[in-house]
Amino acid sequence: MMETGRVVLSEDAAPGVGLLVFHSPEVARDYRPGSFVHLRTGDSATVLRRPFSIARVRGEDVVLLYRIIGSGTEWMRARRPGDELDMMGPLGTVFRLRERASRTLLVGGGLGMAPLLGLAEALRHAGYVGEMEALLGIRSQGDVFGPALTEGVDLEWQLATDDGSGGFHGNAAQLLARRLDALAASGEDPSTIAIYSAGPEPMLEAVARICEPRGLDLQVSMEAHMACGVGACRACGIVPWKDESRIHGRVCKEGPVFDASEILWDQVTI
Amino acid sequence: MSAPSLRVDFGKFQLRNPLLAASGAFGYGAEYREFIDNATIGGFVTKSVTPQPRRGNPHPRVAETPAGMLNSIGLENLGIDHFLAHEWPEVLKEPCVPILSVAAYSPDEYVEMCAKAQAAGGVQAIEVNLSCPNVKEGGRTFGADPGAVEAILRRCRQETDAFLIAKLTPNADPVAIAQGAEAGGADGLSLINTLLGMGIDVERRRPLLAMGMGGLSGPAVKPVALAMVYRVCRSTSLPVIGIGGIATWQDVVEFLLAGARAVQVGTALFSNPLALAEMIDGITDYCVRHGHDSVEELIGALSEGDLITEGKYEK
Repeated sequence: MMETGRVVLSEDAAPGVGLLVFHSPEVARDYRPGSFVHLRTGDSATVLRRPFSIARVRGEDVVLLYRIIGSGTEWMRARRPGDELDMMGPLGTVFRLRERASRTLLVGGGLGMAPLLGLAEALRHAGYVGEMEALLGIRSQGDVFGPALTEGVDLEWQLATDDGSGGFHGNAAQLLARRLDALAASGEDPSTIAIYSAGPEPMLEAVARICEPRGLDLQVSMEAHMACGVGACRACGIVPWKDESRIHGRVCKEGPVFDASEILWDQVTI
Repeated sequence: MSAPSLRVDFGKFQLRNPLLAASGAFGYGAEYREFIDNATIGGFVTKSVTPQPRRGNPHPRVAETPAGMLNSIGLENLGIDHFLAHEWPEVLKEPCVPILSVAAYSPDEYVEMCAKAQAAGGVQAIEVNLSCPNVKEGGRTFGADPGAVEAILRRCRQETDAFLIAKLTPNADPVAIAQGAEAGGADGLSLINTLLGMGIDVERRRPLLAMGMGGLSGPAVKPVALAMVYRVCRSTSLPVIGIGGIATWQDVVEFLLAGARAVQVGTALFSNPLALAEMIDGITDYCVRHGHDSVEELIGALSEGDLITEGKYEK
């Protein structure tokens, strides 16, 4: 579970967005859609690791997409081919691949959509998807990520932009609601639809509030600040359960993927 | 020459080695199973348990600072009743010494928890986390008041025959607090808990932690911790566990030389889950190089020579 990755590629995928590919046969082998790696981003004096969802795996190469927001991600951006990465992982509870879905909807928010790429590949590979649609909410048309991100993943994103500069004018949850209304009007059985969502918490909550009254099967991938990454410290305990015998789901352990129907969304505190 | 013994006496315990995992960093002992073999360490302290369930603090609860981290987790846990019924039986199966950490918001609650632990059976050692605010005394930390520490320990002492370890805050005079704990009947001391700290995001003009302030840990606090351990060891006859920014085997040796009989490692595990194993190898090698048959020979073995006596620091 302590692994070393060797950097294959590190580049800017878009302004402020890093793409890092590293070689690790072990991480690639143990990867399941939704899992994450806990990276040491800096020298041995770095006190906290940083968790990153694995976007996808190609052969023995592992792909990470990240927003460059601070010293840790600046360090990642400065990696060069051949550099070594120290990581724990893959960690976390992963997406359950829903069998026999007539329709699969992937709902992403910005760069948070990363784990949906590998999920789409795994669902296709397993033959579970039925019709697959991918909805992506971004701020504006200019935020569309480079082709490097989705190369080889056969997904056509339906865009929603906050500023209306491209696609649907609104957010991903609103676009989803519109799409679900259309499916309902056409008589599609909601029990055969599988929905997977990844992105910022407010978006996931909005998606959950759309799916819950319709009785739809929704899984969400959450993000949180972490320290240990293995469930010991409770820094990331942000997901309150409906089950009162438990307090919080730990994003690192019971998550990052949660079944949306098990969460008390109005008490999520992040 | 055979391999040096790492065994240390700590009160009524003989620990496999002086390395313990610290409260709050090690869950209930099983979380690091894929990285750490508990049969190789001396023991661990559970995450603190409280009288009632606590949902913990708002997020973010952790932030990185130079050579350190701030945390304000807020003692998230399901309460002692749930803990003793569900987690404690599993904790007892771990192949090292488990120490139960209790935290409370009034003296009565500390006493109540010690009584419940005693009734549950199998609790051999309790670390009393004295760093919570006393809600009945205007929120002042119990641990900053030697009289309060003495009173709490004295009452806990009457409820349990477990080995009682008082965990001292660095946000007060540790020598005075240590003397209070000893007078109250503590069997051992552990120090330091985290230092009160704060960080601010200057762009957003908001604290890094949702709670504003929190506890600083990590290598940044180690010299402070070492000085406090050194002073406390010279002022008490109780066995002391050194805590605070220990990240390497050299750090462990420093605390042993300063007088600690054992150490706890917390924050270092987050960046390096293999830290405890590396420390075991490192102190073994150190003992060999320095011709020690037993790590016990290091405890308090600081060469003090012409060291200026403590009184002169105080002025």
